[in-house]
Amino acid sequence: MMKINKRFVISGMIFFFLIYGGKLFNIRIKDVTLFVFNCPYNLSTAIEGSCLFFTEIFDSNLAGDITTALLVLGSGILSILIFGKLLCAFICPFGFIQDVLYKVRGLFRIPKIDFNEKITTSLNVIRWLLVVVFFVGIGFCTFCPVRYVIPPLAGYQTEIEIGFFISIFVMGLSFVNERFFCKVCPLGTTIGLFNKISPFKLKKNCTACTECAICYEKCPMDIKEIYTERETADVFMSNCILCGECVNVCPEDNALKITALGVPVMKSSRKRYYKKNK
Amino acid sequence: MKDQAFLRRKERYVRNFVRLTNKTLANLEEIRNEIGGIELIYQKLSNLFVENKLITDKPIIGTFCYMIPDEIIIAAGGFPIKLCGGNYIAQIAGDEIAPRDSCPVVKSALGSFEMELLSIYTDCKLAIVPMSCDCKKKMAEKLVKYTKVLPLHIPSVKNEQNFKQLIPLYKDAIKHIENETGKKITESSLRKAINLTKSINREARKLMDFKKKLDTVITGSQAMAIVNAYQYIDREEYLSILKTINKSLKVKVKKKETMKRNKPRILLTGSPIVFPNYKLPYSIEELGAIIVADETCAGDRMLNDPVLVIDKTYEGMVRALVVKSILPCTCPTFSSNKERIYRLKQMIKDYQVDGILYNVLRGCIPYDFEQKAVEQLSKELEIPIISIETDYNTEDTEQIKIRLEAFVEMIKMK
Ligand code: SF4
Ligand code: SF4
Ligand code: SF4
Ligand code: SF4
Repeated sequence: MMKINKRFVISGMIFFFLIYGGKLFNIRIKDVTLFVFNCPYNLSTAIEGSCLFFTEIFDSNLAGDITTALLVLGSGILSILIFGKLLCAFICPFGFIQDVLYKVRGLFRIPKIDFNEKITTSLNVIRWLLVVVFFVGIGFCTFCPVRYVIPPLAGYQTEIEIGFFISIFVMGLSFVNERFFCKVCPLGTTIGLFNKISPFKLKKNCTACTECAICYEKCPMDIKEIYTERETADVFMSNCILCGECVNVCPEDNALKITALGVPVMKSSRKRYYKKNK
Repeated sequence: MKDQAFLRRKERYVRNFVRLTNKTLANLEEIRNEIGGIELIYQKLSNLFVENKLITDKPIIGTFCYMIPDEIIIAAGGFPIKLCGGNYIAQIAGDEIAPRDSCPVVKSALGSFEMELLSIYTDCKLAIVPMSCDCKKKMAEKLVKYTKVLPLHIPSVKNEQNFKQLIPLYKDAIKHIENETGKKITESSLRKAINLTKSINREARKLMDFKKKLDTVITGSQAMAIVNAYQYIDREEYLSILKTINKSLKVKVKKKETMKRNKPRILLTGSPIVFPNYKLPYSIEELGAIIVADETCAGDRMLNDPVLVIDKTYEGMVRALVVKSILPCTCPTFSSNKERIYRLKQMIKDYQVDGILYNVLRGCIPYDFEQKAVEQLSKELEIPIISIETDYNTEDTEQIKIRLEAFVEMIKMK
């Protein structure tokens, strides 16, 4: 059985809009970018991802044109400030592709692979290293697994570089491990740096929590703090993709919530638990 | 063959055992708060503890504590039952087997086995004993005389490394259970069992929610009997009884047939309270207080935490059950028991508690140890606490009542 939730449907629609919007409806929004892995090597994408322009800041043709550069990079940063981690939950097409892969695995009842804490810790180090790699101007595109997925999906071919093999590896892992690439994603991590000022936040009521670890079991990003935290309400970690799964499965009233500008938009409760987890 | 002397002794024990059980049942039935369906619970308890009737034709698999998930027994076609004892007469019988300073839960379980007091002990095919407290550890060895025993290692610290070791242990336990029942657990039987306990958990939660209301419709002793009885009734049947009870409570709320509002609302915590040892809850409620929140392990804790199956394969379900049986467990036999303090704090808020009743069974070291931390919490929240150290004896009831009365009066004056 494949579980289709609202988030999956919405992110699917956004996916189609971003990837095929240009091709099918001729929607092409120029010089505005979104801070997600929507590969601009897909030449007919509706709204480009910012990744190319940040990682190839000196190589891309922005160098000469300051206004366009400001627009392209500025809109990318603005998208972080406005959407925060909703970029990962709803907007990033590569996030959606990973969701699809993982769901297909479930459909075929292929066993998943969970990482132990050691691997999770190493992935957390790699994630920050990749942020450095991403921004120092080496050019992430060479290694980028997205390049061999999204442009081909839209009908564009790119030359085979080392990224191709990385891509096979990453896609394979994303098949058996939920959102594997997100666990090391430099963009997601960068968005995470803005978590503190993001309009959307994940919060915890530490007293209401029973440390049942159900949220941790469910969390695609293996964020342990979500269940062990007992001191602060701030459990919005830099690698969280704000998928809201933890809130859906937490059986305790008000233990977890997602807020928009401080107002709760999603709250855990026993009632919700029974409703969502039949 | 058992000799004549044994049979005579047994007869004496049984007579007193039944007398004591009947007294608790009579006390419960006297509570002037009618609830539809609750008589079924009393009847079931009486069937087992008074008439000693056969309660099931499935193989009985006994467990202790919170950590053995019923689902794996149900799925294998067994009848899960908690063997923790609550009867004073059984405790006396156990006095000869266990040392003086061991706890009455263990003594009365051993005594019930030795004196063949109940069918659930004589027919028990396998006893799975989690190595939670020291008494349980030592008891496991003594039980070998009466039935097959599977000691189950429970780590004292909840961490990833320890948790990983647990899964094979539980799988091993499943094999033992399957051997006894002669039926293999399949993915679908396990799913069915999980869905059944899930529904029970959902109804039990409804029952707890009734107690959160300021206008109570159920006394703590009644609620405790209902939840306690879960262990002794066929689960499908229990679910339907529970549904009847909840429906009747709902009607009571609608009709505003509630009890007096300004009773001190009590949170009961500490060592397990097992039927028919309702000395504490019954006494304090007789004095006008009402137990609204129950954190004990044979009480609401047993049915509070739900299972969540994320990976719907067999492996995934077993894992989910182990997660549920260990991680949210607030048993103080785990080295750190902070979870319980948070839990109590939350319960005090949810149930609008006025006072805490802390039960220490003589010989129950883990709960005794944790008493200080709960006292600290009581200070912090300015919620008065009373600790009662006792066992299953009936002689100190009057003395305890005097102390409880002072406590209840003190809260009323506040
Ligand atoms: S290859 Fe990767 S980093 Fe480069 S533009 Fe495409 S998605 Fe962005
Ligand atoms: S973390 Fe995942 S969803 Fe977010 S930008 Fe990276 S790939 Fe996309
Ligand atoms: S912490 Fe919650 S919202 Fe964040 S990734 Fe994990 S499950 Fe999703
Ligand atoms: S699911 Fe809820 S109660 Fe359980 S550990 Fe997570 S936050 Fe705590």
